[in-house]
Amino acid sequence: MPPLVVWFDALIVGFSIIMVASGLAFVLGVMGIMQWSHGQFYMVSAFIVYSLFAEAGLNYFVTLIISTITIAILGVLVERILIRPVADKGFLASSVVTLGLSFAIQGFITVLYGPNIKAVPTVLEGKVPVGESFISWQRLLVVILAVVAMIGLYFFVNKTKMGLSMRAASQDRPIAGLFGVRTGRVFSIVMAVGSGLAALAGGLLAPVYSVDPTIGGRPLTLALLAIVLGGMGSFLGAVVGGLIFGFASIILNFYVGPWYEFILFAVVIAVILIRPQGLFGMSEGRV
Amino acid sequence: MDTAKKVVPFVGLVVAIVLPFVSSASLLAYMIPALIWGIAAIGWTAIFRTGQFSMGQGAFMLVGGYTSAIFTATMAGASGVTSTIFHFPVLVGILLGGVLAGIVAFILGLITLRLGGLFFAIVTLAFGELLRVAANNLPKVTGAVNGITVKDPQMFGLNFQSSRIPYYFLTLAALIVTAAVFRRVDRSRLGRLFRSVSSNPYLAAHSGLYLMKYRVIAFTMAGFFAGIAGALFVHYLRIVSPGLFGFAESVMILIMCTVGGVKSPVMGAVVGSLLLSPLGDYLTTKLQGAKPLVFGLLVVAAAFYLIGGVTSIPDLIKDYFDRRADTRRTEVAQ
Repeated sequence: MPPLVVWFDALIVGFSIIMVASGLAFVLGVMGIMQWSHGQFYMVSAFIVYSLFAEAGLNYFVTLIISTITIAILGVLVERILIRPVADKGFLASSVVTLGLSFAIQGFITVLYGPNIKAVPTVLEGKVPVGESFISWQRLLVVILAVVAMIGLYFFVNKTKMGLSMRAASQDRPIAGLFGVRTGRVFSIVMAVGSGLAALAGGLLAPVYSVDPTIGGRPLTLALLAIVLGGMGSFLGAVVGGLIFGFASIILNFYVGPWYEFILFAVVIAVILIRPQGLFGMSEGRV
Repeated sequence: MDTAKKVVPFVGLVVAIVLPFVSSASLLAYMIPALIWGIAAIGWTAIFRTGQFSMGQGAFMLVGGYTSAIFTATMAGASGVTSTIFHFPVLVGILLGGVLAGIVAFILGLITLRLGGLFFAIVTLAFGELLRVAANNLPKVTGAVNGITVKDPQMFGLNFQSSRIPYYFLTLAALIVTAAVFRRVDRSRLGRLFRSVSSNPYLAAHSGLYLMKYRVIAFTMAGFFAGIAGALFVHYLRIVSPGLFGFAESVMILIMCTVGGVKSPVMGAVVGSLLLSPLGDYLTTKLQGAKPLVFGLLVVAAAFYLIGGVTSIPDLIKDYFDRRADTRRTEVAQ
């Protein structure tokens, strides 16, 4: 058995993946678009927190809210200006646009801040004793806020009228439009929420890890694999996939070191071979 | 316009052959990587033309590069890697790199191309990440972070050490062979099958085509040539390390193809890499981060305003004049 601290580490990694993955799955599920620049939103948010909190000295929670709202607005702008005009041209056109955007954002931040690693100081001092060792409040905060965000997202999608519109638009966009769903507005809100979740994760994890212009790649890769594992476009799938991934990566890392990535990759390949719709996805006809 | 399409590659070839004798060595330092990226980019275009979206061509370049380095290295690497078992000539090493990359692509393709689409994109992306981890954690084989130092190529009694010109011609030859192979395939029955698989998969499947077979063929071919490209790059830089071809490089290949144009099997990829690779190298020397910024903006602009890429500009001009001629004719008739 790994020590208790390792399990808590796994919980944190799991929830950070969940936050990125659920936003990604949300956008994919409702809009049917792979948002490759999702990881860069995470990175930009971490840099906003670095600028405002570590450099300008604002209150951490204020910067967290500012960065989340900024990225949400950025997400809406990206959806309106870049994705909507090419959305009808299919998966490839929208992929090329968001990939290009992801490259451009990373380049822009590198030009602005330079490629070096930056450290964000810990916000919440103090530790919670767990067994023989301690867990910092900063790490617990990640878990708590992630759980709150997930519950909030669940109720938003399943219990509100806007959530109903979203589910309708994701099933059949033209028919939903005929029934009075304003799909354009729905997509903007979906994009805002999805990007905001990535931004929240980036802002929360900036003090836990370090910040540099390439940190957006890894959360994106892990989130993508978690989505494949859980089922493409399914919210529950993204959550469960993210949790499995977070736990498996840390626990396996404890036993086999960096080779854990191979085991995870093999599991994803096996899932693709045996159950391509993922653990929670619906099966559909494919060519 | 059709004659122009035949003349342009020919003129390009003549320029490419004359270039090293009239230009400075620093220009060749820009040209050699451009030619190598062109090889990898042609492969990506072939995959794209079967309707798939590979995000991991860099991974196959890494496979090719490491294979060639391991099979040809004779001197001790920076981290004490000594491969005294293999002393293959560089040309054999490069070919082996291509073959192994092709085998890896074949196996990965068999698994992922059953589903294709987004699954394929994600798995190829993750595969690149995975190879980087493997290269970092196998110090006995890959020299971990330090990588492997590769010796100078030696072949045909040419001196590769003092001048870049022989290596330039080696890469040029490789690019021409790649272009010829993909052009030939595109014009053959196989090329037509590739196009039918991508343009209407349902119809193709109902006509009795086993879609996965053609996707795997294209992916394996692209993997083979990406491996060759990676090996060529490694012998040019004379070192291979895990970070050499990562996600950024895979996306760069994709951007080169999109900016160049994917409507043609070869020209778009070659033009794109010849334009963007030197531009990227130049930008990197000027300012950190300028390269991804400019590349990203370029590809977004291409997706919006020039969906056919740079190589579609002559057609657009022709269309424009045709339309103008048409309207003038109707005006005269009225």
